[in-house]
Amino acid sequence: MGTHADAPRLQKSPLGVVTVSSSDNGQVSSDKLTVSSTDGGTVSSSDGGTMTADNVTVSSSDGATVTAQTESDLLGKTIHFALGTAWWATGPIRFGGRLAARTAEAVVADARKRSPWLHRQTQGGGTDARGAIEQLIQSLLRPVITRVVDAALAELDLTELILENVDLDAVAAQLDVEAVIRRVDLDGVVATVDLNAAVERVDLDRIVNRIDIDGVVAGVDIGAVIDRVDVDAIVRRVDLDGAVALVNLDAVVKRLDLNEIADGLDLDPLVAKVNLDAVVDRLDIAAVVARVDPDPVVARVNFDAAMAQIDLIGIAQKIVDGIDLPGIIRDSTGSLASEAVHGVRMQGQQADDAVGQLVGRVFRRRAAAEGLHP
Amino acid sequence: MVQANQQPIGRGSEHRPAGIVTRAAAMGVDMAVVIVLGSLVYVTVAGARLVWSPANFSWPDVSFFVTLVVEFTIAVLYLTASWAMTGRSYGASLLGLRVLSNRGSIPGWPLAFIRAVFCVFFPVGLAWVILSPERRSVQDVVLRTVVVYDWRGADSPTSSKD
Repeated sequence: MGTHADAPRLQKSPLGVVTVSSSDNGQVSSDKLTVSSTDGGTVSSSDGGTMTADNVTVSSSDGATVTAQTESDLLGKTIHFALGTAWWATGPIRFGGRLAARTAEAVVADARKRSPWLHRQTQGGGTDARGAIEQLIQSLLRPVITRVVDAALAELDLTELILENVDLDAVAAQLDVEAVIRRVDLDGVVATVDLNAAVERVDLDRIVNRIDIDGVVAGVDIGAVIDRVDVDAIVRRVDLDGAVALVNLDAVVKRLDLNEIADGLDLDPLVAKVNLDAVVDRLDIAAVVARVDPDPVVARVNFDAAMAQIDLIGIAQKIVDGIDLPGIIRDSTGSLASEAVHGVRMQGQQADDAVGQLVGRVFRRRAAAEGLHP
Repeated sequence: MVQANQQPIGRGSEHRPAGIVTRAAAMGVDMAVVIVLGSLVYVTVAGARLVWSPANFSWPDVSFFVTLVVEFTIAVLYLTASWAMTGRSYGASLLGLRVLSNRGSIPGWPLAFIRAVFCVFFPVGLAWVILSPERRSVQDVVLRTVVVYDWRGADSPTSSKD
């Protein structure tokens, strides 16, 4: 409902009464108001200031329109409003009455339990009489109460009433949201939710298709993200053994271009850091040599060219000089001659001794006296 | 050399006097050496004649007496030099024998010469070794020498420890 600075302001009360007032509390000119009946009835003013009619529509010069209702409806609404107000006002009294009746019943029941006499006196007709009274009251009051409540609820726009009369901001300010949240059993609420069904109803493909991944990625500061990542902690938590066990290393190696990798490596610094002596000490040279098949290697060797480059004469001369071949021949020959000479000498001595013994026996000479035997 | 020859060698158990068999064998080897040396002399003389007068060359006609004199001379010189220098001739060296003086040392040149002459002109004296209790020949008895077993090298007899 728009308003101008000099346009009359229209306001309709909950009872349907339209009030016309000036925005600056001045008089309202009649040429700025249009009053018409929506059902063709006559519009008249009873006291020159207030107009009454059935189903009247009041239009302001700025286009605002308010429709009033008939007086009979106003009367009914007023009665309903009064009854509702009375019912609402008597709520505490009725609550007190019920509370008193319940209290009296509790007292009487407790007294009956404690007193056999009272139990006998009140046994039987007392309960029936009280029940009859209650049924009578309920049969009389229930239709009335029901009608009053229905009429009040039908006539009252509770939502509008609350919006106009309740300061929701103040109410919200007084509301202890944290206390409310603490009182909510989120676990219970979540337990009642069928997450599987909810997830099944979600069209993830459609959601993903609507996401501008390129835009999202373009907006991410990858450098900052990487700086915040504790790669060491991640690596420590990773089961590298298990991960490696899952990798098909043979397939990976087959896909690698080792020649290209080798061309890109600067092996000189790496080799300079290697302790080759330690490596060689750890090698089982005999085992390595035993696994080598020399035949293919030898078949590829050009022995003629290799022999042509070798000074065999010089090498042979060095070998002969080194091993002293003449000395070896001389020693071996001398050894043979020495053995022959030794044999001749032994046999000669034995022959001498034999002759000496023979002569000794002939001349009955003692060998000891001759000193021939050691 | 003279001083070395005068050093005693000793007569341990390993230097027992040699018997008739080994000494006779040594003598036979020495005789062969002398014959070879005489042959070399003959060939040398013939070669000299060939060089001197090749046109008139003919093998020398040497009488038995001359041959005998030459052989004896060669034998004396050969044995003298051998005994005086090492105490053993080639035959003695082959059989492991050594000639020692009465002091147990290698004989000197005079003794070696006299013994060589004695042995060349009276080789039968060697037979006394068979009868001698100390296995001495006539030459050994006269000249007071002894022939012992000595299997060491040619240079070893100069040692005085034995």
